[in-house]
Amino acid sequence: MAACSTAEANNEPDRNIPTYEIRDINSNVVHVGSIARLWRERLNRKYFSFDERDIDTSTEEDAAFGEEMGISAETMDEIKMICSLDTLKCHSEEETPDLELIPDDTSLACLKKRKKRLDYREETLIIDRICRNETYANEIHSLGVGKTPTHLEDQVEEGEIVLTMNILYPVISHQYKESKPLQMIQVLGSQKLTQLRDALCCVSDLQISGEFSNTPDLAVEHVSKDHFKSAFFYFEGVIYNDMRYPECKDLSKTILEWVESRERGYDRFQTAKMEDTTFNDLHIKIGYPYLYCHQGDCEHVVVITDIRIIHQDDCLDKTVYPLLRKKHWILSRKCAVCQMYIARWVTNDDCFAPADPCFFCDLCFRMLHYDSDGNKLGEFLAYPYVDPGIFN
Amino acid sequence: MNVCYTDTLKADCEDLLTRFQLTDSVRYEDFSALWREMKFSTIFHGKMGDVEKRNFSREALSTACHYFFPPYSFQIRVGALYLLYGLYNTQLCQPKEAIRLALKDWEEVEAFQQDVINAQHFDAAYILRKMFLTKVFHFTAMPHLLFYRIKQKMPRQEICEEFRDRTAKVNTLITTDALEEITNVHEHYQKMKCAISSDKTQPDKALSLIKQDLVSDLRNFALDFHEWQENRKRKLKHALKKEAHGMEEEKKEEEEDGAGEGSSQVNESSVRAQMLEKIKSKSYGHVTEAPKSRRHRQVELESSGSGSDQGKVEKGGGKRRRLAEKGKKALKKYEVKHEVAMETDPQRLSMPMIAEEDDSDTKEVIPPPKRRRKR
Repeated sequence: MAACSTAEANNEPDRNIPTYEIRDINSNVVHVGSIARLWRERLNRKYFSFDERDIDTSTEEDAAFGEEMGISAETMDEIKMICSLDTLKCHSEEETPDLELIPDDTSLACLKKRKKRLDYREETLIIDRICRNETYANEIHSLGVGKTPTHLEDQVEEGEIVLTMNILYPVISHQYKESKPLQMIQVLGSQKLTQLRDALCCVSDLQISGEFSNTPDLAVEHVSKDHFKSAFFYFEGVIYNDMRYPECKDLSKTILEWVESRERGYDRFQTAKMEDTTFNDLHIKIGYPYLYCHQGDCEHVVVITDIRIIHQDDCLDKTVYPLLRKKHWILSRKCAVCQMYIARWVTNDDCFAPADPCFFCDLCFRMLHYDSDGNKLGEFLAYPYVDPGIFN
Repeated sequence: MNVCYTDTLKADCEDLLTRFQLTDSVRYEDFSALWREMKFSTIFHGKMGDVEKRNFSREALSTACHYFFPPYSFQIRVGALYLLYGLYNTQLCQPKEAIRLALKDWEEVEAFQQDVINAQHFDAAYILRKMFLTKVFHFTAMPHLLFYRIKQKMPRQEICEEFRDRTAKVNTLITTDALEEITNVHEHYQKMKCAISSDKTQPDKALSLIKQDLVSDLRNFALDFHEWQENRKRKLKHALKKEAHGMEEEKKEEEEDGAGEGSSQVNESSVRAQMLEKIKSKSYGHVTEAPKSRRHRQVELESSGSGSDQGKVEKGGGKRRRLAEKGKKALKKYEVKHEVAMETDPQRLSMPMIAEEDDSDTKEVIPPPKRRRKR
């Protein structure tokens, strides 16, 4: 019988089940798509399907349970009552405890610690206001929560894989060296790598190159993103190049030649196309750092932190993915003159500026450096400036 | 700003589970009574921002989940199940923070569910099923989020010794080291008896008060028990797999006979297998008396088949040392490959020394073994 042969095969441990390679740090190499398959083989479909929220099926489920276990209806009712959620209520019906207050006579260590912290804050707090970072984090969180699609074909399939990854900003200034700010993005297993690439916002994509002190009005023509369209991802020995546009170059060629030139201790790298690969096709280690490179030399470290089956509380609209879940707030540089608007210009060797380089917003820049007819006054070099905080 | 609750959460969970352990029951009624007594749902109270609330809920669930898997005893695992049920339903975040379940832990959960159903603990079975159907779990690849934090050593949650499963203790008691000790003691005893007997080669008949093959019997008992455990586990696994592939009911019934409460603890079977191999390969225990023709040579060891290059030697100590090293090398090789397997069973590595007084059969005081074994 066919079942016998599968039974035999099942006695060996499945090599696709992820385990730790280094404990608590990263896993061994896994094939992303097979994780969904392994879970589907093991689970009852009801455990991960999307329910209709309004319909309460608990009575039917309880009856089915009673039948399976062979217990009478009265016993079933008794069990239901014993295990109901009311048993977890720690206050009587009349009391509605203030969720923000901690009782003095508590025996729980967590509450004691929290109370100490809150008391300390009470004494030392000057302004009681929600932290700006937290408001920002909440805003981003609410982007994805519980969104249902308008069209049914946009709904994520049941049993779809969701990958969560951290994309670190490139270390281009001293302030980033220690804290390593990042953004956390969720993608679906069925999405292509190019979709992630398009969703990644990096300030270097928007850079405008060129000196525009003589022609300030021409500055907003072309951003780097339009000029240099090449990019690649590196995952586990394979480099995935973006070859969608004719201008895209194979950035990985240099790396491949370097690896093959001598015994470097690496196996030969392979290449593939970003637009032909979905996340389900990848073989990766969870928790291990990989690379995303664009603009030739702007490199981001990519760490895939989690792979799981989609849950009904997640955002179920396919079109929203890749979904931003968390992002560090980057402080924007303000204009040196008004200190109000975000800087749009940076000048060097400027005879009007107090510092070199100096940042100006558009209005202050024009008022200081040009007369009412638009003539350049004095010597300076001006470059358009794109602030890293532009994506806040 | 960020308060670390790891140790306090551990303390609170262990407090509740200790109280549950003392009730000696697995009934949810008893658990919920303790829950209400400790007012455990207030653990989520206190003024917290949304982000902090969510992080705390996630950590609480992760801490409780640790007690749901082996090597904890069946009662503690049921307690952990109830604790997860309680924490999930009393958390204050909206939408609720889910409980993570990794692929590699699924077998253990399934085996646990089967145990609970076989032992007819309806409340635990009902709660577990309800949790599955209300989508409490996130089905993940790995149990925790991994950020490649090499520099920041995340404190690993240590195993609470009071909650450990008893069935593991048999195998930790009767090990090669323990058997070595017993063999030494046994030999010395024999020598003592010979020394005071009239015939210097044999102890007097009046002095034969213990079983001669004590050590080999012990070894056989331990092996039999281990094999029996393995068989049960294998049968259960097989039965579960057959069920998953939709086989007939009758075969399942046959194979699940006798699978009792907590019987299918999937202990680190690789560690057990290795220990079994070690015991077999060393073949300690069967100390025979030298025949009269060879009585000038002391027989230290006798090979029982496997590893038959063990001949008879004059000095037993060196031989034993060599074999001990061989066994340990084999173990070390295994250790490197299966770092995870070894790590979750640290208790196995430190063996209790069996004091002479515990050997209730010896009537004389035997001096400690003179040979110093290399560890």
